[in-house]
Amino acid sequence: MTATVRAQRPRPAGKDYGYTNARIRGMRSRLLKKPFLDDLMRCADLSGVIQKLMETEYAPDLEERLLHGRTANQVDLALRDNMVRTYRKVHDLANDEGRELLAVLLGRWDLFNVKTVVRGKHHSLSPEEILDSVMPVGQMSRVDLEELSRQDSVKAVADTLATWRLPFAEPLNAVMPKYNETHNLSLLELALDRYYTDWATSRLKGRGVNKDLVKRFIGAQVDTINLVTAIRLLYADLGDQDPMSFFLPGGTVVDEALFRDLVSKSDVDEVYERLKHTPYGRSVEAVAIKYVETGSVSVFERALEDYLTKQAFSMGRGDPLGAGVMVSYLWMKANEVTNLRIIVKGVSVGMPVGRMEEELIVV
Amino acid sequence: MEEVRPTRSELLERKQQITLAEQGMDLLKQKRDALLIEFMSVMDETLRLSNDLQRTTSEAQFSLAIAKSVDGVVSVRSAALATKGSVTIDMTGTKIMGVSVPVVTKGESPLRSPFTRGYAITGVSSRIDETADKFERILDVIIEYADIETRLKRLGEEIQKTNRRVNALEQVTIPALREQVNYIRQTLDERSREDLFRLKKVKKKIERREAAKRG
Repeated sequence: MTATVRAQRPRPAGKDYGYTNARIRGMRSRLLKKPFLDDLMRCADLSGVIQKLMETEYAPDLEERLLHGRTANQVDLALRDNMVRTYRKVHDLANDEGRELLAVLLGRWDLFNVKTVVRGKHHSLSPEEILDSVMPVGQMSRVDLEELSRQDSVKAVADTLATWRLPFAEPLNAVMPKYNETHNLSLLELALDRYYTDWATSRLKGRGVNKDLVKRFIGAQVDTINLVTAIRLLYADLGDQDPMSFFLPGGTVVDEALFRDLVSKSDVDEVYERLKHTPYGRSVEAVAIKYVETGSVSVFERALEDYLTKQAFSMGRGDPLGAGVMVSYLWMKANEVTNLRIIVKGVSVGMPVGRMEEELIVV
Repeated sequence: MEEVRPTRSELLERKQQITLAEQGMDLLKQKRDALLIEFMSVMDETLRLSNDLQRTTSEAQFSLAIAKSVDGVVSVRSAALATKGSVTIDMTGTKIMGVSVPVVTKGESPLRSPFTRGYAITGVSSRIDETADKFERILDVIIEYADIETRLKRLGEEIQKTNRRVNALEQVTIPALREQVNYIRQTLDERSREDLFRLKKVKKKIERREAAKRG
């Protein structure tokens, strides 16, 4: 793997979060506030949105991207660049334990990037096409991903990952014979998804308040994925496929037994009933009517994502000298970028303000 | 007017031609009416599919906008890499009232389940999944629409062609033939009046000659 050269900053070692959290609180104070987002939604066109964003921390990223055209897509790419830059900055500010925790949390993006490269190689796409769809915020830098996307085949990608001693080589190589036989891409993806949670849990082994905090949060993330999967499987025609093959281990509430029970239900009402006494019951029930109106599973996914985001935000209100401040900031930043994307897209297609407000995540 | 020989045989021939032209015109009118009935039913179906296509497209575009905003362009693009595929269609032909029309049918339905799109559902949001589903529906409607629209176009062209033929017979050929029949009839009448006059003259001459002989 290549090492990225970055500016030297004072960096605390061990488990001292004092300096890191002070810097992060400073960064958190610069996050965009609700009145600013309200103003942004009321802009007449994309130019107005860009003009307002140029007065924020997004200005350098926008300046660079807008050279290629003042389009919603370029703004979207600028927002991505800013998020990558911010995540890297948080990583640089973090102490040893913080970096370890970040590696696990942002490992989800490494997983995403590996899946993207595998998808591209499965369909023999060019490295340029693949690199348009990666998000280098994890352990792997853009240079690493460029190298990975230059490989000839899925097998070569797995081998390269193994050479770099990255964890995702293991699940890929494990299902490679079956993949070669069936040419079924979802086998590889499912293996990677299952592996991530196992890997994250094993990396967080040992005692420690901060490790427990992150472990609980990853557990909640896995729970929400399993819940959405269970609801998606309710009306699906799986053929001879075992629904349990979609279960991801590592959740805190949704274990194998609960997942098995949920996928065996005949409709959503029974799922509400079953989830009533879990922390997710209220979120799922709150959107029950909306689900009946729209018939779209995404309303559940959205409700569970909102729940997860609120959980992440609340981590920042705990120990002022713990990892929660850092983790909650990452989520706040991601949330801000998502909300800006919704506004940029909404304004560019002439979406009514009310509709945009409805789409905004926790503000 | 074309060169017409004012003879009785020509008159008979022209009359036969008028009868034939009128029969042809009636047949063409019947064909046009039948085509119009077929056209109207195809038109209803085309309008239904066109509305369906518009609705499906706007729904898909909206879902895509939401997926791009919430999940990000990167996630949508990445999922799209996994779902890359092709759509197969079969092209055959059939005849409606003697009009050849192509028949476009789906070789394999473009609609896929979330488990056959390529990606694992555990790693792709249901928003992206629903967007993919809506775009596959567009493909499905487009294939149906291509079939029905081509049928409508061909039927429309055939109706226009038949209409032109009916108009040509009704406005040009039959009136021209009728004019020719009138011309022949007038000429023949004239000729017969001339003959009668000539005969009367001859008769008078003969009568005068005989009267002179007697007197």
